[in-house]
Amino acid sequence: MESLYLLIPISLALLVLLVWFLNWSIKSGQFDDLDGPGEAILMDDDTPAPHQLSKHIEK
Amino acid sequence: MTKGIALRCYHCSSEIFPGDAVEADLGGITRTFCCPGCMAIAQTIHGEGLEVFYSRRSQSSDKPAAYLTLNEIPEKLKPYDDPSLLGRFTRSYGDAGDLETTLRLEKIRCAACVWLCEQHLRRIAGVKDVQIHYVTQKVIVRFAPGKTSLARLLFEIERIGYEAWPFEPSISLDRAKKERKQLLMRLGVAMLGMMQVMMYAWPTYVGADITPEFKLLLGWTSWGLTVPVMVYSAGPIFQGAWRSLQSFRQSHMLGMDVPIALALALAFIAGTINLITGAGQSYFDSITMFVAFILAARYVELLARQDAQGGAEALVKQLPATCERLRDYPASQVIEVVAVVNCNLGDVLRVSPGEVVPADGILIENASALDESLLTGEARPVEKNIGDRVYAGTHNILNPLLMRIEAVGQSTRIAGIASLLDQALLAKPVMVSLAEKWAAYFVAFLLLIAFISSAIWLYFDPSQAWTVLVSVLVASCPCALSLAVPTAMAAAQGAVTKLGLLIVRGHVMEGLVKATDLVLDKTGTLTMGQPELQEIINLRTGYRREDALGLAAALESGQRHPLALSLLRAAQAENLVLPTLAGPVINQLGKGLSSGPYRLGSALWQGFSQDAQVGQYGQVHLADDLGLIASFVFLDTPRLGLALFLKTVKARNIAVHLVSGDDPATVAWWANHVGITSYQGACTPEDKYDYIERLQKAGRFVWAIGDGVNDAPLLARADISIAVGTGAPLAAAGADAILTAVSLEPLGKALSLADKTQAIIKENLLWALIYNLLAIPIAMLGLVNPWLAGIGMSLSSLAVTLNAWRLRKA
Repeated sequence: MESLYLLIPISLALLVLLVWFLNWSIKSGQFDDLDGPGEAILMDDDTPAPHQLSKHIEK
Repeated sequence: MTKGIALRCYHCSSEIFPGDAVEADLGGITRTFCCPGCMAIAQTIHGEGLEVFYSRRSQSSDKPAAYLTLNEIPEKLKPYDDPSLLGRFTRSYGDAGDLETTLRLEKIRCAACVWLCEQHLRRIAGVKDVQIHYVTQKVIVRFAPGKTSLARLLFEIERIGYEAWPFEPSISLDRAKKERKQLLMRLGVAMLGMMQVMMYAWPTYVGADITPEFKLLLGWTSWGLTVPVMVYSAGPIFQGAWRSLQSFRQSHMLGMDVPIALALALAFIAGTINLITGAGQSYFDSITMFVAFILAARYVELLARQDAQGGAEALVKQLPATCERLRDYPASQVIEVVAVVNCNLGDVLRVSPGEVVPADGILIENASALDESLLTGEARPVEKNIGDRVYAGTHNILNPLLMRIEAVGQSTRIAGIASLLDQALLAKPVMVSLAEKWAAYFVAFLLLIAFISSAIWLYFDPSQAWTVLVSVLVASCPCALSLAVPTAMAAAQGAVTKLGLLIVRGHVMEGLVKATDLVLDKTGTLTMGQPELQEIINLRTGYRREDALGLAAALESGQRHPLALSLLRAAQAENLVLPTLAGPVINQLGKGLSSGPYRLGSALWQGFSQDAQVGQYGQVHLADDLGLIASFVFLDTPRLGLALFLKTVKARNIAVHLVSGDDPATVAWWANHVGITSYQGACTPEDKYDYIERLQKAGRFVWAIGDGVNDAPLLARADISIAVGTGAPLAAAGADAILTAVSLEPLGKALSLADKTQAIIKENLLWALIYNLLAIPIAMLGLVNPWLAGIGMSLSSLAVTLNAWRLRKA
């Protein structure tokens, strides 16, 4: 039973950490766009290497 | 079909008219394009190694303008680099002198579009970072102003077939974002609190053998976690309850917040007292769970509401940001491109065909035709002569016109309509929802019962009075009651969104059931606002139908007039090979087209009378030196699913009204055509507003559907309103729901779903009531067992949620 004296402060510390983490993630916009990043990850790998740059893009 | 595929543009997939095809070699394969613009875009995309786009896109884009073949930033975009506009649309970012801007992307249709825009922007020299928000269709770009410019970014997006306009983040939008983040944080704190307090309550749940000092320790730890949930997460609930109490004198209604706040406060005080005295239930687990559930339901509601677009933002979208000004008119015709905000009264502007008039004014040179359908609902282009008024927001169709500005910005007609919209939203009758009404009765009943039972106990056994008061309030479980409506609404909204109806304001489902009158707009709502070739009449003997159509289509090829496009579509549909014309096509401005002996145009110009037929979109006539060859009759096309929808509506005894800005004869013809008995034509936006107001004063519950800017006040005033998604953004700003499907059919389905939703809400409320009727007497007798109360509460909440879930299958 005495272990509770240790376990409860640990659980409280974890909770404080979680709240801090949640606050950080909301502030940094992790919840702003829930669809985009999920789609984006499917689209990034298989891009062929750029070749033969058209003259339009040279600026 | 092989022929059809071969004649499609590789980039934009539009059909290529014979003789227009442009070919280019891309990655070793010869591709066909409809125009040099498409070819340039495809070359750009291939050149950057982004050709996977063509296999990923699910829908193709529109035909782009020819100037895109060049690498020059077009004149109309250059003013964005002017300090006055640049300062409005960019913010400085970081120490390196970089600028940050938010652009709103248009024509984004699928994930491939987002990907292409992002990749293309990233490859521009000077661009530091690109963030695209898929849902809001906004992109945040950080760039070094020395290496690239705002105009360059806009141009590059246009070059790959999309459109972008700089977006001025308004205060209301910032506030909405802050509100959303705050609520999410409150919800998160409540959820974490609930989790942890339940953990500490576990020994009491399982009846574990626990010594009093540890029980006290767990109790006070729970208390410590409940305080932030009460103060921070439930703060707005207490504020709402307080406001509701303050306004009780005027409204005579108590909001949902009052019983919730009361139950929370009493439970918390009772729990604290019990904790100090060391006897009885502490309620902290119920409090935190309850707060978490309520906030979760509110968060879902908030998300749906915030999808709505503000009126100011919509107005910006309707008008161009730049215009062509003639500085020394009439001395010289030199044109400078300037920002519309920098224009003053009396300035002379040039508006090219296909462009939007940026300000109100008087036409001073070159008669033209303007599409005023956004403002008036009139589908046909309106002929404008020198001295006529032209209005901001209308489309110039025919000739490059010159105009003198008479009103800019807030004093234009379109801004006037926007302010009428804001007025209408203020005047909109507030619908008292079923749940609020029930809740109000319930609160009164509950408070009465709680205090009466407490008073009785005070008489018999004063020590029990306080416990009974609290247990009645807690056991009555406003939980099921407060979940009954939001869960059903959320499920129903999810179902109709899949059908193609996006609900912006929550009362739509409830309002559809109550509607007694349906007010429809004609152009763009009842009809598609797009002419279709109906029939060919007065055919000269010796000519086949196909010959006449082919000849007309050959004359019209390359024209952008709605009737020309319709003729070309008809010719394409019949797979006609267009004859080659002997002479060049000459555009007789405002009259018609001629080539060699052939003339195609209005009856007036050709010098013969046409039999006026009401309901028509218009007629054009093909003639040569010998006289008339054929007449083409055009008709507006009715929207898909119209007949079925009207049948459903009439079956529910809803009176249908047709109110349009189009001329009375056409409106009457259409009303008869689709079977609507009550109609009114030639309505200004104010007339439409009055029409609704009259109906509402007669005690009718009005449901309106519209699409144009001229419908915006009507949509805002009606009890429930639905804007057609392809219509004007300003109309959508005033509407409660947006029809994203092309067909009207989802509306019929939404009606039956609304009935079902209503039934389910009633079932849920009934269930909550039955539960309360059982639980309250037990609590009144002072027999409440915390165990039973807990199970009962969870079960009743679960039953309510599962019941609502049935709506999703609709």
